[in-house]
Amino acid sequence: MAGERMDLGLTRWTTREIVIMAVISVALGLIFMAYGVLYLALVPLLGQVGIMLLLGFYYLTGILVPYIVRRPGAALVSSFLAAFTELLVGSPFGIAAVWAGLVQGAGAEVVFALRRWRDYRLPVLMGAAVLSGVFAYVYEYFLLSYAVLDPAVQLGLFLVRIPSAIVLAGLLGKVLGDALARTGVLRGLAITREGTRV
Amino acid sequence: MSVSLYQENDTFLHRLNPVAKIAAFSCFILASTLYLDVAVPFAMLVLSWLIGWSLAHISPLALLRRLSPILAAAVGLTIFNTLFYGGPRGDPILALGPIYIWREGLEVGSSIGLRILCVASYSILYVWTTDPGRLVASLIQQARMPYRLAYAILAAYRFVPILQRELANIQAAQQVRAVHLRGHGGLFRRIVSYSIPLLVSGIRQAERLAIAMDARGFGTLPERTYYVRTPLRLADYAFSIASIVACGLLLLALGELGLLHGFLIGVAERVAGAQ
Repeated sequence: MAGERMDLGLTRWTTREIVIMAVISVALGLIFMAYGVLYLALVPLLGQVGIMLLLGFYYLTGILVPYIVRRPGAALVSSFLAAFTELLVGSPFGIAAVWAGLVQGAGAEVVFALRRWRDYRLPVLMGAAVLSGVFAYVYEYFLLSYAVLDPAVQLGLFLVRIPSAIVLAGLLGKVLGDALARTGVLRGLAITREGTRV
Repeated sequence: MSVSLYQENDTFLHRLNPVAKIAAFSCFILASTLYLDVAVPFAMLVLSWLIGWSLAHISPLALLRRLSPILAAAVGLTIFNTLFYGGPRGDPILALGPIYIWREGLEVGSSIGLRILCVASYSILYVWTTDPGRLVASLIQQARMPYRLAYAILAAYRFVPILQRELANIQAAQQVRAVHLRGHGGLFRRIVSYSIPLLVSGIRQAERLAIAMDARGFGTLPERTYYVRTPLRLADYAFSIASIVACGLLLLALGELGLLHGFLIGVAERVAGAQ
């Protein structure tokens, strides 16, 4: 049985890294639940296209956790975990959210993989956030049949989320990560070490 | 676990393997997204009530009550898709100044609105009938998730009530200091001011937990034994296969009744052709 089990590279993670990743993801899952209420309440005000300005926040897990632990797989796993928490706590969109979490995480992971999981500078974080958004768009394109919409609206749904992803996931991920590092709780994790591990 | 909506019981749906159940439910949700006709998501929605009623003794009314908060979102999505419908269409049925409403748009819009209700209905039914502990056990045993990760999830999940209390404390503490009145309090700043203390407190507890786990030799062996076992039983295979067959039969029946027109891909092509 041991041979079949997928590895995800987790064997090299320390217990502390795994547990910290899980806690951050679960906490963000809870914050997403609260954010979701605000989000739905603002839809009538901003419209379905305008609300995309707030969508980027949901990509935050897949940026913040990799930025802190800097391990292959961190984006995919943490993004799934946050969505999984939403399912467990009873989000009405739980099952759809879990698949969305995997898709978004995969988007961010692709960018980190292209940089060989060594480069976590701001432009890379922003790029990962943008690809999360692109992947999520493809997922929503099928889930919500964007194909039937007016082409201009389809384009709007795609474009408006990009600046949102850059700011609310890419930039916010770095700001939060650095702020957490300054508090000292992340001592010994990759984020506090100069340079990155191989 | 108090935070979950799980309602303990011993019914067929409760006893199903959690991973098999989420696969089957995803199948129903997927089926509801394949067509643009109102009949498909509606049928899947009704099917979720029937499944809940017959297999878990959950009355459709109880499920409906939990769905009511999503109703506004579903209606909003319907209006949006109706107004900005860009697919093939006949004559508008209504013209409000520059805004036209097409019958096709209204149909497709309603279908997509119902689809969201369908997603919500299956999600709620799932959470109600699935023990979080068994779900994680089944992620390890069936979905082949590494157990070090799965146990970390389980441990983190136990923090949820603590974190929720912590969040309330942080909000109260910041209110006492009138942080919210200190100007330039954009959404961005608010998120940071709540998240940092919450994450810091979570990470501190994670640290202690990790030390405790390491001290007990957690993760030293590639495999471990389990107290909670979630084997795949005959019922799990039967339910999964029955779900796929039910989706197929339902779509077939709706097609026979002439209720199916817009298959997703077909419409995408027609939209492209119409321009």
